[in-house]
Amino acid sequence: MKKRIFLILLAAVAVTTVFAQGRKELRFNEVMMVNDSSYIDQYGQHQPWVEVFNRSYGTVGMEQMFISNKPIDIPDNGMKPKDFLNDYAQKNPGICYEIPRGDRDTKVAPRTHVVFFADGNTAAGALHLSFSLDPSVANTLYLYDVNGDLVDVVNIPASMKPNTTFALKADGQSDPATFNAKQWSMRDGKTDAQAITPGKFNLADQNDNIEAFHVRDPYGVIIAIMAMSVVFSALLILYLCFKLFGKFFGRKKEGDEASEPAAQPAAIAASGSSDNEVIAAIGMALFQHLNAHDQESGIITIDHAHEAHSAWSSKLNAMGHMPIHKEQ
Amino acid sequence: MSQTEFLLSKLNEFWQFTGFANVEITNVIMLCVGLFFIYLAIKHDFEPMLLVPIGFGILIGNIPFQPGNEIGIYEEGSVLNILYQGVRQGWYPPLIFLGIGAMTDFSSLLANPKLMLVGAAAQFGIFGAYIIALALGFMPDQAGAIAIIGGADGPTAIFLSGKLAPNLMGAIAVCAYSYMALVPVIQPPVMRLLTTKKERLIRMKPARKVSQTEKILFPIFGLILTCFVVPSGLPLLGMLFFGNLLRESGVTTRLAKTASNAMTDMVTIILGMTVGASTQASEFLTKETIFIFFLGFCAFVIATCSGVLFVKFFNLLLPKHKKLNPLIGNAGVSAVPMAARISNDVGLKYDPTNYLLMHAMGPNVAGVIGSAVAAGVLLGFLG
Repeated sequence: MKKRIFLILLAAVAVTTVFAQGRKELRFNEVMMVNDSSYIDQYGQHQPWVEVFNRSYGTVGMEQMFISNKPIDIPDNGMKPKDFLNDYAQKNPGICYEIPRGDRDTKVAPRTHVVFFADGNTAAGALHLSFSLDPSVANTLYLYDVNGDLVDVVNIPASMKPNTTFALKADGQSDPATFNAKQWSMRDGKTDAQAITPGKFNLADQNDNIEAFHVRDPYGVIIAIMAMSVVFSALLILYLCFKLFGKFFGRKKEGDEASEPAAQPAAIAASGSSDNEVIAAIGMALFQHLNAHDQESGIITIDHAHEAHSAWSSKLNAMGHMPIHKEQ
Repeated sequence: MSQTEFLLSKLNEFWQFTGFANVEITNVIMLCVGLFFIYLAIKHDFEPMLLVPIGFGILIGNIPFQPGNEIGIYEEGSVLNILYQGVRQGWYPPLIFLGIGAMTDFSSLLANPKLMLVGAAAQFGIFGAYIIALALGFMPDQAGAIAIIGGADGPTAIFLSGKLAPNLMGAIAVCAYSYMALVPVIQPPVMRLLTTKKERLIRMKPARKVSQTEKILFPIFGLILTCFVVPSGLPLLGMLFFGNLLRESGVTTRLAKTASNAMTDMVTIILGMTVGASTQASEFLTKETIFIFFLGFCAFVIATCSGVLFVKFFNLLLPKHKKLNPLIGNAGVSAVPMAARISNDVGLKYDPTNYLLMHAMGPNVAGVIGSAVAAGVLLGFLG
């Protein structure tokens, strides 16, 4: 029982650790400050939005994490960071939002996005922040873990045009807890490269290898030569290796045979019969031997015993056992 | 609403859900294709283990229905979709390879290791088809996925197409298995065309006996040597050699039996059925599918030619008493053991006492390794 409780606790700690590690992999990914004709919330309203990307390969629960528009100094007064942040978010909803527990929308699947609406209307759901953002000034957003660790930060420029976004050039490709402007770019949605992508990847999934081969090897000759060379090399190495093994084991076998007492000399050869006849004879013998029971009828019958006696009348059963002489 | 109106409206609603209300001509065509596959398998014994599950899968995949009820193979959460993930994510092919490894006796290859090169040469069918596919306008990743049909290895084709061109996978899998079933029709004319009567009568030296130690060492060294060259082939080659070690080690007979019988059978059933079901008319009846079937045919012909011609070329370098019969060249295309049987059958037609089966098994199993390596190379370049 104790062992079971220990295992359950161990599993719980492991799960908590995994989630905690996963939270470090969350990144602000795209932000729209003025939204009048772009992405809509579940009520069909255009709201400013903030997209967060889970760049890990595990599901990350965002409950009890904090998004704020000002940096928060956690005092070193013995109070737990979680309690302090919780208290801070309750007292300053215009600055800090605590993501509530128990909402399925805040569990972010691997390599996917979640979009929060910065409308100051928490009654609309867990994905609606408790504060709004002023597009006329520069804003900074902070993402804190439950223990007060800063996970990510983004500086949003002032006066962004309506329906434009400030987005990471490649999804999730930013340094943790620091803002690097070089990793971000403005998007106006006019071209594929500048697409507005709430809940989707900023960078279209493309394979550079395919593009490169398409441009540099349009007839496929280069790849054919390279690939055939690799296939031949792999099998040539195997060939050489097992040719050597064959020679080694062949010699060893010859040595073993030589050391054994001489078997009957090649009587078959001496008898003058050809190899084919010998092979045929051996083959026939093997066939007879291996197929001796292959041609069963497949019919199972019950063969009635002809004895008229039963267990009651059997002489054998009726006879007494031989007395056993016990030694004293 | 009266009782009658209510009943009529419910009946009408039910009618809208039935296949009769949703059927399209493309569904009917695909159902006919499925029935044809089942007919070929049962009546003509064409790869029945594969064509029956695939054919029935085609029937399952093309029953018309209203989307949105978690029924179809492409609808997330449906039972078929869950089973299909093994194809989509590439779990099933390596499991099949485990079974193939546990079933395959590599003795004939080990007895005459130079036959490995014949298995390598036949892979030119893949890259020949790749070149033609590019000329027909396919992108390199699609061309690679289609070209692997030339490897004549269903699981490899499914594995690679699932990675490079998932939308073409149904057509590629059906094409690969169809041509594998048609090997007895495609290969003999090509073999006869490329060989002289004198060459067809070449008798090969009987294979030497291979020691058990060599058989045990083969999967271990085979894995290390091939996967160091092509790590991307690891899922297939790793399982192939692992299965073979289970067989040859002599101490895991029970595991080898399970891998080669029960497990392979189970995976084959689910794989065949889901691959068949993935050929929904909307995905399958396209211009690309016609091209894929054409390219698959080209791949098989090129692979057969390259195998036979390579043996002829190889004979120029070999002493007279070690010459190979070019009729075993076709077996390099994999398609175990069908292709080896073709070598034997064609050989027997010209010399009823010249049994080529065991000699042809060498390039045949080398072809399995070669096609897995080729798939790994394509995945490495284009993945």
